[in-house]
Amino acid sequence: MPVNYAQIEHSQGQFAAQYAAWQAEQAARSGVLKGLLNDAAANPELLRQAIEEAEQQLTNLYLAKPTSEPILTHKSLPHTPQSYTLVAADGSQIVPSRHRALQFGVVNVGLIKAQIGSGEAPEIRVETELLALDQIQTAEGTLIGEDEVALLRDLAERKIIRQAVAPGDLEPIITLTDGPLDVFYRSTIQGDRGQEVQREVFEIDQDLRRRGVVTAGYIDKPGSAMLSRMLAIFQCKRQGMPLESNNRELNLSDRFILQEILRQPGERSAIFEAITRSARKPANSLPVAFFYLNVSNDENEPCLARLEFPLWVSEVPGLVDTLHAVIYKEAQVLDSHPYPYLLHRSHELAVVKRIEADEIEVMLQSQIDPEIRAHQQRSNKDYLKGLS
Amino acid sequence: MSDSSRSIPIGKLLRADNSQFVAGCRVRELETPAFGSLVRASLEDQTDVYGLITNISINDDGLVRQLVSGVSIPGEYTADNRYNRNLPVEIHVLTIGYGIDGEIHHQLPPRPPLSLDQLFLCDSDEVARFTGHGYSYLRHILRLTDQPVEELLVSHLSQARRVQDSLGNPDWYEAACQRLIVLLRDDYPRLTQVLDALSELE
Repeated sequence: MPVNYAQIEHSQGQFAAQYAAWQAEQAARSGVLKGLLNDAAANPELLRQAIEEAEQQLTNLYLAKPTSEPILTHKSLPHTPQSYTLVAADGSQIVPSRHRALQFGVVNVGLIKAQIGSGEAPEIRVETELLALDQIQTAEGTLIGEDEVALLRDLAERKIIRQAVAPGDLEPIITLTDGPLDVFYRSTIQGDRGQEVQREVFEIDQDLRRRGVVTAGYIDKPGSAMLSRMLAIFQCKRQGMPLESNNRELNLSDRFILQEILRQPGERSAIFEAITRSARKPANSLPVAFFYLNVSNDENEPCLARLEFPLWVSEVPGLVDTLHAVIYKEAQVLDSHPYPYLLHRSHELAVVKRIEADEIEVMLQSQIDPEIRAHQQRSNKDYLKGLS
Repeated sequence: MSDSSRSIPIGKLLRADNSQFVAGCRVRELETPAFGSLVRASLEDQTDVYGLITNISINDDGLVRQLVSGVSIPGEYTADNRYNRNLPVEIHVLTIGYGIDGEIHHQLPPRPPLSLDQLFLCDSDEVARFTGHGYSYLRHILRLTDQPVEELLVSHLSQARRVQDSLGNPDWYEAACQRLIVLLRDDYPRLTQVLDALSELE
């Protein structure tokens, strides 16, 4: 049975009206926030005090903190190095499902490493890990969910990147993954597993830092409101109110605040530190900084992405410029839909299709004792879904 | 069956019927096959199916189309698309005969090659052996309707003539032209086109 389009048609007018109202609300909010941004730029000391107090007082916090650059900074595209190494990794996964005949999980990571300036085709690699049974079960014996498998995938991405970086690689070396750099954002995971992964990721990051490798996370069409929360804190401080970063009236994606500032293709914003406070966040997590980058090549259509990198990168002269230039150039390879080419390729290498998941299940079943296998049945619901 | 160890593997069978087949190869393997070359697919039942390359096509996909519109693509990414991505080059082959138990036949084979059978480029000995067995295979080429027959004849006869000349058979090419004239005697416009194309070889 297809969708009941008649019912959609009946509701679409109301939806359009709601959407228009929401857009108007967003535009008004954007105006307020831009005003606040200018005020905060004019009073950086008050902004700094507000954030430092919030860091002391609030246990749950996720906001932007200015670094040494003025918050209205818009920096044009620097010169791209003649040669460099860019490594991208992306993962895909099979989440264990009780509806399958066999409960299993797989993490599949695609890696591509290009030595720009060498003229050679990039190296490609795919690593597929069948998760052990104790990895796919929680302490209570239930199957782990989507978020926990994704955490294992994030860790696998970092591990393969660490392995891929070699002494003879053209410098500077930049690595790229999709999404925030700090895996802590998967904070819904219960128990110690999340913290263990966080610890491992931290160790990998430390190792890469020692080797001078710049790790970066690319967030396309970012939705986070880290600047809004920063400005909400600033407003509270200015008005003498108790500090609170979650103000629904001021909640707006950062890219709507910055897109008029970053009008020119290739411009980046000021560098901000990502401040994360949570009772469950481990102490040894990676301090992360970020900037927004207009990856568009048309000044009438800005397209903002967020680029996260370790805070230490912002303290080394020239590294931010290199990252800025390389990522913009990389996104221009797919210029009408700017997105880092190698990141797309790593996704293409990693993606696991349903037919491949089924094939893995058949492979695993073939190794299981027929007596046991006879009792491992796919759920009837899943079987019947497969008929349609 | 031919000695495959001396031949150059150029791809594997994608699809086939009795009169034609298509093989896929990677761009790295594309340096050897050329339009009009004599090729062979060796079947498991010891039959060799012979054919001429009638077309080589390069496939695309959404990413390639996106890249085509790009202003600046580093050479490394062009190489990535050519050598790393799974887009086979398709080699289309017209079947012109087969060999079994050491004998060459210029009829269509009893059965086509199977998918993933390996395709080899024939060396000079094989070209000499296949073309030294008469000219009746030329009728398969003349049956083509949607291919540049004249160009295919020029490419093939040029290769075969070179091989036969080197073996001391300078009359081979002239006899092949005579055979074409006989086969096309009732189709004067086409005969004219073929002879005009073959004049390139004079």
